[in-house]
Formats: sequence, C-alpha cells, structure tokens
Amino acid sequence: MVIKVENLVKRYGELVVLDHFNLEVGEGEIFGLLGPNGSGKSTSIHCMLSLLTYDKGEVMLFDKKMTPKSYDIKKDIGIVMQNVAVFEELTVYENIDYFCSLYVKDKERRKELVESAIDFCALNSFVKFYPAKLSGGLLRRLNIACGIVHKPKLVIMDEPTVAVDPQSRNNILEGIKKLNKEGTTILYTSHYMEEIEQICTRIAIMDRGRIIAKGTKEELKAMIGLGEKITMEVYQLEREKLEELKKLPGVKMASYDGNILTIKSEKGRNNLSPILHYMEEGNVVFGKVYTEMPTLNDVFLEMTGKELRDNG
Amino acid sequence: MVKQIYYNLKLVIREKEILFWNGIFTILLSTMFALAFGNMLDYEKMEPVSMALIEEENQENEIFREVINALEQEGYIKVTKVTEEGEAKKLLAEKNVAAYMEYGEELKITVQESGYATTFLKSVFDNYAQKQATYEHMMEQLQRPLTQEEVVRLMEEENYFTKVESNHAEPDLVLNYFFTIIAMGCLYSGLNGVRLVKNIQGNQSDVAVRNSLSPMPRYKLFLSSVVANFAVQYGLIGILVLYMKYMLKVEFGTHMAMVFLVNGVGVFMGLSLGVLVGAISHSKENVKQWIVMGITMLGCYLAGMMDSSMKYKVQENAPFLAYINPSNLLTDAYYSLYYYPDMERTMTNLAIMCGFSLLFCGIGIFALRRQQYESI
Repeated sequence: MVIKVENLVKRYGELVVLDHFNLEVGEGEIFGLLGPNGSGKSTSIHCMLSLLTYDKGEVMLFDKKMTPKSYDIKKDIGIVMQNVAVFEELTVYENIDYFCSLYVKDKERRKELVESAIDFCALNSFVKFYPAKLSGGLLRRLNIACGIVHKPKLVIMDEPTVAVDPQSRNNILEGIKKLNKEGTTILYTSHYMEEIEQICTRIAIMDRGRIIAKGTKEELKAMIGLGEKITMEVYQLEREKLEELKKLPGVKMASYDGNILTIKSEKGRNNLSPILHYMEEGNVVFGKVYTEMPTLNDVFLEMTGKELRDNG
Repeated sequence: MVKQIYYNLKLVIREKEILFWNGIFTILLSTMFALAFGNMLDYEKMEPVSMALIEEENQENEIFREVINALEQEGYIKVTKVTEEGEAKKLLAEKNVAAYMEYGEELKITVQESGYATTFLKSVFDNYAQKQATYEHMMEQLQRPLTQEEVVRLMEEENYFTKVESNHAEPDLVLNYFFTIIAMGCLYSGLNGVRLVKNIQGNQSDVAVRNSLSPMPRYKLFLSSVVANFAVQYGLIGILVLYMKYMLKVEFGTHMAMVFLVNGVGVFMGLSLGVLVGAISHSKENVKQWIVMGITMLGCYLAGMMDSSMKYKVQENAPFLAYINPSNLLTDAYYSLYYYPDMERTMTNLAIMCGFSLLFCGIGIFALRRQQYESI
C-alpha cells in the first residue's frame, strides 16, 4: 500500500478538522479526494506528509510510518500545491534545478531529470523566463515540473488546476494521466468533480473531515437511488401537468424553473421515451432535450444534502 | 549543500528590495552625510572653537589661565577676552562665539545651541571643574595648599589638556554618524533573516512546504541560506566600508582587519535578529521587515545617527540601554577601533554582540521547533 491512513484526528481547539479520517491508496492508482472547500482535504494531506502535527491516528507511506524526519520516504514523494510554490527570483530552469538538487546530488543525473521535466511540462521555450513573465497556465506547469522533477513514486496534487483556463487544465490532466502510465501513484484532490471523474481510478468523497463514501465513480453512483436525468426546454408548463409528470412511473423528482424542466429518474430506469410521449399527448411545446447520467455532485447532494461547489 | 548555497546566493542577489536597503541606501546615506558635513571630515583643517572669556580685573587664577592658554596653543579653542558679561552675551547672540565662560566662585559656561563646538567645550571644562574639586580635596587632606609645581605636574601626568593617549587619532564626533550607517547596514541583514525563515518554515510560504518535504534536513536548508545571506550582506558592508574609507575619506584608524571582523559579527547579529523576528512573529512578511527596520532605526537614533550627543546622553542617563542596543554596540566598536590603541573596549562590544547573536538565533530556532510544522 502506498498510502495508509488510519483514524486520523486533527483539532484546532474545539474545531475538529479531521474526524477519524481513513484512507488507503494502492500502487499505480490515481486516487481522487473530492470534497467542498473546507472539507479537510488540504489538512489531511499536510498531516499525511508530517507538515502538520495531528492529535490521533497513524500515517503509513510505502508501508513505513511517516514522521518529519522520514527522509527515506520523502525522497519518493513529490507535491504539487494549490498555490504556485516557486522562487520569483529564479528562472524556470533554475527553479526546477533547485528543487531537483534537494533530491539528487549527481550533477549529470540532475541535468537529465531537469530536462526530462521541462519536456514533460512543455516548458522548453520558457527555460530562461522568470515566473513573473509566465502566464497562469505556464506557471501551473512550472509548479508541476518542480514537484515531479525527481521522478517520485508518489505525487500528491492538491487542487493543481485552481484558476487555470480550460485549455491549460486539459493539458495538465493529460499530463497527470501520462505520469500515471509511467508508474507514478497519484493522490489528487479537487473540488472539481469533472476532473476527478475524468482521471481518477478510485474516488473518496470528503465532508467535514470524514470520508463519507469511496469507490470507483460507477460504484459511487450506484450508491444513490438516482438514474438518468432529463433536462428539457419547455416554454410553458401548467402546474397540473408538472404534478402529472411527477406521478409517471420511474420518475423520482420533477421541477420546472425558468423554462427548464428537470426530471430525475429512479435508479436503473430510462424515462426519456414515456416522457416525450406524455409531452406530445399533452400538447406541451418543448425545445432542446438533454439526458445525462448522475454525477458525483448528485452523489454528494444525496449523501449530504448540499452541493459540492458552494458557488454551484 | 553547495548547490543550495549557490541558489541561495542567486536568490539574495536578485532580491531587489533587500539589496536596495542593504546596499544602495546605505551608500547614498553616507554620501549625503559626507556632503552635509563638508570639510568637517578634513581633520587637519578643523577650525578652533571660538569662545569668550569674561576676565574681571581682580581675578587671579594662574592654573585656569594656563589651561586656557594650552588649549589655545593646541588650536582647540580661540579665546576672545571680555570684561563684562553683557559683552559676552552679545558675542554669543551674534554667533561670533559658541560659548562664553565666567570664572567666579565656580566655572560657569553658557552656550547658545547644541552642536559639536559646545559639546567639546562643555566636556573639556566640566572635566576641568571635576579635577579642580579633586585637587581641593587633596589640599584638605594635606592641610596645605598645593604648590604651583605640584599642580602643573599633576595635570601633566594626567595629560589633562593635551591630547588623550589614543590610536594616533583625534576625537571626532562626526565619525559617529558614519559608523551608525555601517551599523544600520549590518542590522538590515535582519531583512534577509526574515526572508530566510519564510523560505524554510512550512506554515509561512508554499516554497517552504516544498523545501520541508524534501529529503534535505532542514538544518542544512537553514545553514545554506544563512551562509549565502551572510556572504552577500558581508560583501555589501565591505563595499560600504571601502567606499567610506577611500571615496568619502572617513577615518577608520589602523585596525582595518578588526573593522572587517566587527562587520562580520554585526551582519551575523542582524541575520539572527531577522531569524528571531521571522520565527516568533505571526505577522505578514512585510510587517516583520518593518519590525526589523524599526528596531534598527530606533537603535541607530539612540546611537547618535541624527544627533551625536544622543549617544552620550544615553550613556550618561541609561547606560544599560547603550549595552543592549545592537546599533550602539556596533557604532561603539567601530569608534573604539578608530580611537583607542588597545582592543579592550572593542572586544567587550564584540563579546556582547556575539552573545546577542546566539541569543537571537537560539530563541528563533526554539520558536521554530515549537511550531506545529516540522522542526529544524
């Protein structure tokens, strides 16, 4: 097991930030830790890495107990943080070389690794640039390069795509998958469910310092009683018709708001055909129709009664 | 660790803000001081201090007259003799003299404004009055008046009104201003100390988190950063001293090697102060830097940066403050090297500074160890 955390408890005075937090991550996984802001994701990582002391519990990395002085474990860990952690006074190349020098003494080997990280993050054209001259996306790539340059066996990524444009985000996610294919185990935290769904082999959902569910995305979705979600543009829908829709077989929930009709089906049911039939029979005029399977947000919503993202 | 020192050197050299305060600002300030004081740095041409002496007809005091004559012959003072106080007051009001003196029952000096001339006159004649009291006490003990020869011999033995035995140097209050600038430069290393802690203490920056997570023990990160910061700062202070010596013609005396030793201890003390502030304060980095600058500037003010008499006022009224003021210890160490032939006073200052450095550093490291984040 690459990561094994048992009953981790972290308190700040009366506030319990981690409440008997448990986690297991196997070799070669991309493990997603999903939770809203303030759910304890970053704190759990800081405790796992012995950056923060904790009140109770045990952290094992690579089957060894992790302590602040576990230098033999640290050499196999890379971290990519939410904020860009580089020196403003050093160029791209110097930053990567500096962080590599903390792990690798041999000059030739270091040069090889630095060049490999530059290639991996496609920073070749920017090696002499200072961070202040880089765009947000390039800065994130530099941040990743500094975290992975020493070819760690475990990379911990704490919301590495915050405030990144969609194109850069896709590049980063592709890079993570590539890194994983090369044999690196990845622990990935985010409050963006789409990212987690896109890249993670297993996912744990966190809320208030606890893991409330874990498994593959399919397993998580299977835990809730929701099936297909249908969204339709409806120009006018009478109240009685909405009530009739709710009573159709297999419909779990129906709502109409701002010309949008949303119908959620019971698990395992496909309601598109009977609903379209009902609309035609009832002379309800409708426009575009979308269907989608439940998301991790639906899973979170069902389990906690709130949205994953505070701002939607 | 060599690679870390190399990159830390680059970091320090490229930190423009710190480089400005630690390097350029001190050179600019010393240049401004040199321009402001003009030819006061040219010791050979220093003008004698003008003073008026009220001489009454029946006044007979051979000893005092000899003192006055000797000071005048040495070129320290220029005496205008008057017979009435009104005349002396007029000369003082018109700034023709820096002070006037009456010799009645006791010695009385009246000065117009504070400054080098009045400080000089007051210190010389206060000393005279003190010695006179001593002789009177001796006469009481002997139960006879001292002979003229005895008095002259005693005064000569004490080198009273000739030059004090020194490092072939003239007493010079102007130098103190320049020495406070060097002290300020040394203590501004504290800005580097604050940054140093920020880069290695996990709860202070993201870079520090990354550093803390590496297999490099934190004491090595700390040491490499200290070495690099010390080297750059020591170099800057060295440049400042050489600039003062060769460009501004500031006198440092004959112990230049010791001056550079004091520079080193001063820079280390500054760095330690920064480490202390960086470790114990939970404020933002710029607030910590203001704290370091505030301590330095207040210390320099008390050491006589804006008014050279302040140093002596502190020494007279609050001597303890003079011993715990890092700026004053540094200033005094430079002045002692310039003025005194032996190293006793300099060594005392150096010992206190080393003690402070170890204390600051020790408390700083202790404070870091108590943090929730990984300890050094």
